[in-house]
Amino acid sequence: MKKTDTCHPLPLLLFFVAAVLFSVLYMHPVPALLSLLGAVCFLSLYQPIPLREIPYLIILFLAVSLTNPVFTLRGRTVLFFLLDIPITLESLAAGATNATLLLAALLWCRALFYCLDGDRLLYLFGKRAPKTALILSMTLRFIPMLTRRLREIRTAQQGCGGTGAGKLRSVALYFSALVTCALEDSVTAGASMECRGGDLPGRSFWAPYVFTRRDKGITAVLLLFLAGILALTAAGAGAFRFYPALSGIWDAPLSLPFYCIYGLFMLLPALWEAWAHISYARALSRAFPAGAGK
Amino acid sequence: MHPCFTVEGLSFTYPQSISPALENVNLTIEEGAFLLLCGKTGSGKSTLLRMLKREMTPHGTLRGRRLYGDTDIAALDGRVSASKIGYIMQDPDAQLVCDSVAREMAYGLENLGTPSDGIRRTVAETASRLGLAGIFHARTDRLSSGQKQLVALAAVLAMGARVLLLDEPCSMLDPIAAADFLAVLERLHREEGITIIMTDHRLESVLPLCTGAVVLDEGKVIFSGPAKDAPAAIAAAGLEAALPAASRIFLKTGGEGPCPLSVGEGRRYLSRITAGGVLEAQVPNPTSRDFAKPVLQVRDAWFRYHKKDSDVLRGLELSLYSGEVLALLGACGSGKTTALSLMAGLLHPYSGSVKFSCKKNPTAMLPANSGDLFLHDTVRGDLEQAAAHTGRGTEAVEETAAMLGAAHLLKRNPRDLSGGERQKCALCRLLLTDAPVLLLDEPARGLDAPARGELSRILRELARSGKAVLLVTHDVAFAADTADRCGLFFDGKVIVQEDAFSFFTGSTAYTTAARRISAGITAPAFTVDQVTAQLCGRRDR
Repeated sequence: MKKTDTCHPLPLLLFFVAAVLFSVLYMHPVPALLSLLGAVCFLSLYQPIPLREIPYLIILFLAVSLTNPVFTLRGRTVLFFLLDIPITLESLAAGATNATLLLAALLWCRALFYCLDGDRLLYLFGKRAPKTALILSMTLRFIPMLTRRLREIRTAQQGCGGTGAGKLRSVALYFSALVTCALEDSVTAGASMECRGGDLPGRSFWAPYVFTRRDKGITAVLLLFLAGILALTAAGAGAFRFYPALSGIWDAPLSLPFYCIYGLFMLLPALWEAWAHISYARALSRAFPAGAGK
Repeated sequence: MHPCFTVEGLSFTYPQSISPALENVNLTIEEGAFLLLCGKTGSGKSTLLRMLKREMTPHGTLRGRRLYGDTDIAALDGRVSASKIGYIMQDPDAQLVCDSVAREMAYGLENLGTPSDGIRRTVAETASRLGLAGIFHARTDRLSSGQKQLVALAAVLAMGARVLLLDEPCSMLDPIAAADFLAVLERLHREEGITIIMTDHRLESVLPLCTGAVVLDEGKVIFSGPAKDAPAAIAAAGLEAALPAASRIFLKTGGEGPCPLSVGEGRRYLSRITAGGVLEAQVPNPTSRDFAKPVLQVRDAWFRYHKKDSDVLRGLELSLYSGEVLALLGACGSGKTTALSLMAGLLHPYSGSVKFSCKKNPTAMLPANSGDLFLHDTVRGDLEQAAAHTGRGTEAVEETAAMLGAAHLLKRNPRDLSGGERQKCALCRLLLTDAPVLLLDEPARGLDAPARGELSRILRELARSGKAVLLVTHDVAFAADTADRCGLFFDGKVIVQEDAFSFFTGSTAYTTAARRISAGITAPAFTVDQVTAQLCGRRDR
C-alpha cells in the first residue's frame, strides 16, 4: 500500500488536475523541467514506468522538440541552415520546452489514473449521480468479463478443431455468441438487482472514503500552494519570452520565490511518498532492532 | 415457533403450458428451519422456491395462498421483501452486479437508502462475519466461483436477510468450495437462526445438514418432514442415485429405524448389521485392454504460463490407451486443466513431449463450460459445421446424435438445453471431429443424478467402442462410477496411476463415500453396489 492510496480522493483530484493544468499553461523552461522532475520522481516511487516504454517517450520528446524549429522560422540567433531553412536557437528552445511540457503533462495524467482508480472516480462523481455511478461500476465489471468469455469461447473451439468456418465467419460467430451471452447474463443480473431492491426509490450512495483531519490538512496545504503560485503569476512571475530572443530565466520579477514554490508543489507527492517510505523503514528498524531476537 | 412461510393450496401453471408446475402445495416452514427442496429436474422445486420471493415469481396462473409471516407475498412491501428475504442464484458470475466486492456488498444497502456511515459499518461487519476481509477490495471478476457465491451471500446478508432462498447454489462449485459454502450456511443457521431453504443435487453433503426436506414429484409434494425420514421418499421420486451413500446402503439392505445420512452414521449402521464379520475380498477382474501401444503418451512434460512464473506442470508422465476411461482426480489449482490443454495442443510444454499414435487431429476437448462449443442458433447448425469440417454430411450428424440419444435435441437452441442435454450435444460435437482421444474437463459439473448416470454410461460405451477417454474431475463419485483407471494429480504431475479398484480401495481418505463407510467393515469395495452385493450375499448364506 502506497501512502498516496491512503489519501482521500478529493485532494488527490485537486493536486493532479492542478499539476496537469500548470504543466500545460506555463510555457517556461524552468517550471516545465520542475514539473517533469516532480512527475518522474513520483512515478518512480509509486509505480515505475516500464523500461520498454522509455524509448517511446524519448522519441516523442525528440520529435516534438525537433519539429518546432523546422516549422517556426522565428527567432534571431540562426544556428545553421537545414535545406535552406534557418534553424534558430529560440525555436529550438521553444520546441524543447514544449516537449518537456507535453511529457510532464502525460506523466501526470498517468499518475492521475493510477491513483484515482475506478472506485475513487466513482466516489468523486457518484454523489451527484448515483445511477450513473452504478452504471459505471457495472460497466467496469462487464468489460473484463466479456474479454474473458471471448477467450474461453475461442479456446473451446480450438480444442475441438476450430469452428469449421472461415476466419471472418468465425469472428462473426464469436461475436454473436458473446452478445447472446451478455444478454443472458444481463437478464440474470437484472433479476438479481430486482431481488435486492434495485427498483426502490431513494437510492443512496456509499462513500467508502472518510475525509479525515489529515485530508483537511493536505487540502489546506494544496490550496495555500495554489494561491501562492497564482498570486506570484499575477505579480508577473513565470513569464518567459522565446521570440525574437530568449529572455533570461531571472528576468521576470519574483523568479526565485516562484521557482521554489512551484518546484516544491510539483515535488509534493514524491516527497510525501519518500518521507512515508523512510519513516516506515525507520519505524520498522526501531521496533525490530538489528540483532535482536536472535 | 412462528411460521416463516405458509403455503396453502398453491397451484401454479406457466403460460402456454397445460399441466401445472405446482399442484395443491401445502407447506408450513418454521422460522429457523434448514430445508432442502428436492426432486427431479422439472419437478417444480425451483418454481416453488421462486414462489417464496416476490421479485422472482414467474408469470403464470397462480391459485392458493402464500404468506410470509401474516402477509401475502405478492402484497409484501418492497423494502421488506428486498431486505428480509435473500435470494441466491445458481450462476455465480451473472448475479453479481458491481465491479468490486465492497461495492457489491454495499449495493443492496444503497438501494434501501441507508446513509453512508451505516453502510460502512454493516458492510464491515458482514465481511468479517463471512471471512471476506481478505478479498474486500478485490475485483469481482478475479474471484473464484466459490468466492463469488460467498460474495453474493454476503450481499444479501448485509441487507439484513433473515431468510435465504438458494437455487442450486453449489452446482457450479468444486467440492471443496461447495463444502465451504455449505459450512457457512450451516453456521448462519445454527448461530444466527437464519431460515434457509435451498435446492441442490448434492444430497451427499447437503442432506446431513438439513433439519427438514420437502420432496416434489411432478408438481406435488410427496414428502415433507425431517431430513432423516426423507431418503425413502427421495428414492421413490426417482432420485435414489443422488442420495448419500449411507442412505443408499440403508435402503438397499432394507434397513429399519432412522436412516443414516452421514459417513459416520453409515459406518455405525454397517457395523451393526454385519456384526463384526468381514467377508473375503472379491477382486473384480480388471477389464482387458490393449496395453501394447498407448494412443497418447506424455513424457516428462514441464510447463509454465510465463517465463518468470513458477512451473504448473512438473515432469508430467501419462499414458492413455484406446478403449479405456482414465480419470484424473485432484484439488483445485493442481494443474489438471492445464495438463488437459497441453494434451489438446492448446498449450505446449517447454520441455518434454506429448506424442500420439496417429497424426491427424488426435484429440477433441470438452471445455469446463461446454456451452462454449455452440455458436449457432440450433444444435444442428454447430454439429453440421463440425461434420463438414471433417468432410462429412448431415447423415453423420444424425447418426452420431442417434447413438448418444440426442436426436430429439438437434433442432433446439443450445442455450435452452438442460445440463445433461448440453453435455450429450457437446459429446456429439467432439465425436464429429473423429478424434480417437476425448479430453473432458469436469464433464459432470452441475448435472443432477440421473444426468450423471446417463453421462457415465455414455462415456463407458464410447470407451468400449474404441475411444480413449481422459477426464479430469474433482468429483470422486463420478470418477468411481465411470473410470477404468484413475490417477491422482498433485504438485504438477500424476502421482499414482492405477486401476479404479486399487485406486479407490487403496485409500481411506481420497476416495468415495461408499469406501469410507465400508473401510474395515466389509471387504474392499468402493461403490454402493459393491458394498450391498456383499451384504446380500451374506444374507443368502
